[in-house]
Amino acid sequence: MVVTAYVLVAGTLFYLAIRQKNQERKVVLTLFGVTALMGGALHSLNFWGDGNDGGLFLVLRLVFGVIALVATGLLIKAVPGLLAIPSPEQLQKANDELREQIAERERSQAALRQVQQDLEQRVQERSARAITATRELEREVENRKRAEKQLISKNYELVKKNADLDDFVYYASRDLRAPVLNITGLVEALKEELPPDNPEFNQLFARLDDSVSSIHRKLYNITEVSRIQRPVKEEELSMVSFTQVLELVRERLAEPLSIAEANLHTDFSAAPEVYFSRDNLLSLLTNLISNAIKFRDALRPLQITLSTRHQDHYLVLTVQDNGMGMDLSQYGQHLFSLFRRFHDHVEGSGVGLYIIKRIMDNNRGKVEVDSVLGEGTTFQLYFVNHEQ
Amino acid sequence: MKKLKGIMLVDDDDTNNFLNQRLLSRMQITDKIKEFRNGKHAWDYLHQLSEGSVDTASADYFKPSLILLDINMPVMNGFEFLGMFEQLDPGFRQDMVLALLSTSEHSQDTERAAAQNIAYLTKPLTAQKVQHLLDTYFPETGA
Repeated sequence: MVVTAYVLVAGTLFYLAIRQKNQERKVVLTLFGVTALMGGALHSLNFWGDGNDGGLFLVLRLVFGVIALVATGLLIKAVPGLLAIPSPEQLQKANDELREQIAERERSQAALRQVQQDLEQRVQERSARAITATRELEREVENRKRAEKQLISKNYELVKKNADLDDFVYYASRDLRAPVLNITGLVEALKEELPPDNPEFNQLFARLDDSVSSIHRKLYNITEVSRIQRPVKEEELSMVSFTQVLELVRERLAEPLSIAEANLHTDFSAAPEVYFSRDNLLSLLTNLISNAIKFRDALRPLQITLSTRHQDHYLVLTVQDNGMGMDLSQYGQHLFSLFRRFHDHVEGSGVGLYIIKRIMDNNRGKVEVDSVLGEGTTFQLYFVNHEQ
Repeated sequence: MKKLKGIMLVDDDDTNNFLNQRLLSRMQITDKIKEFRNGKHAWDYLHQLSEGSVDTASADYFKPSLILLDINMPVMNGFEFLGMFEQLDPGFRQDMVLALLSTSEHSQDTERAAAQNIAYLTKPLTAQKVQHLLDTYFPETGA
């Protein structure tokens, strides 16, 4: 029984050894099998022998024992190899793999560092570029500020020069009036001193009078044009009555009005006053009325209608006449230009309408003109309504 | 026609003074006309008169009924003269009429003159303007 068990154990171990792929385990299992087999063999010797043929059995026992001992010794030697899972190769391999992994990590770390460095470099470059750009921008801003300052100061200079020029023209023309007035007076005195009814003298005086009054008119226009370029001072503004200013104009233009046999119709009931410079309103009405007189139709008595009304945020002054009228499609665009004249049969300086336009523009108003050839002209002056 | 006691012409423009003197002389509205080249001279003259520090018997010194005053003058202009004139003794200045003369009309000037009840005339001075002035301020001189 014992022998059968030993042999079965040995057979099982051999079987396992054959099936085992691992070399060390195969060896170990085989050695176990050999040991078990030897054990079985010893037991079978005991079974068969009964101690009679002592010599052969003793030798056999010795051989089996030595084999078992050798196998056990081998086994003892082999077991550590079996116990040391994994084997040195495996260890080597694992070690290699680990090294490989470490190397891999180092590589990826190095790559990471590289990327990081690249990034840092890029950030630095970008910052440097941004700083450069900022500096450039700052310089540009500085430059522009300087340029702007220069422009402002140049502009200020120009405005001042312009004002000086206007002042110069204004005072020059105003100062020239006195000597011209003196010439008028001296011519009158001369006329009184010289014998009358001298046709030669009369002709000379007529031309002298013409020339002097022409100088007067021109000087007056220059003074007016330069005066209206000057900004209106706050203290010059007040509520001005249309009726009162028109009365002044009637006085000023008494002679030409009576020559033209002009009829003035007024209706300022809707807006009797306007917040304006009195001098400017006087200039506007004088120019409008004298314009109507100059361009009257000789075939019919001159009718001038003046009226006011409120329209939107404007106070509108309408001055309508039944004069010659004009073709606006032909002259319209130059109508308000300085020194432009469209009639050669009437005296005119080409300043009146320019003055009207400038005064209205300077006061944020506007002028509209409507005219029918042979029927008359209507001017509409839009004043900014200060009452609202 | 009753004549004025005297007229003062105050203007830095010599020719204008000459012409005005000629006009007034020909109109025969006074026998005494005196010219001054600026407001200061005219003021000094009036001041001396008011103080009685001149020989009033002399023909060179007379108290004017009318003062024609230019506005633009050196040293002391028309309006400055007006300011000084206001400081004279009211009794002394009550029977003197002032009229401003100017080459051009400015609302500010005319309004100032109107506020002080002073006549405002534009140059040139004409017989018509003088007559209108006399009619307004010296009705007793009328025919």
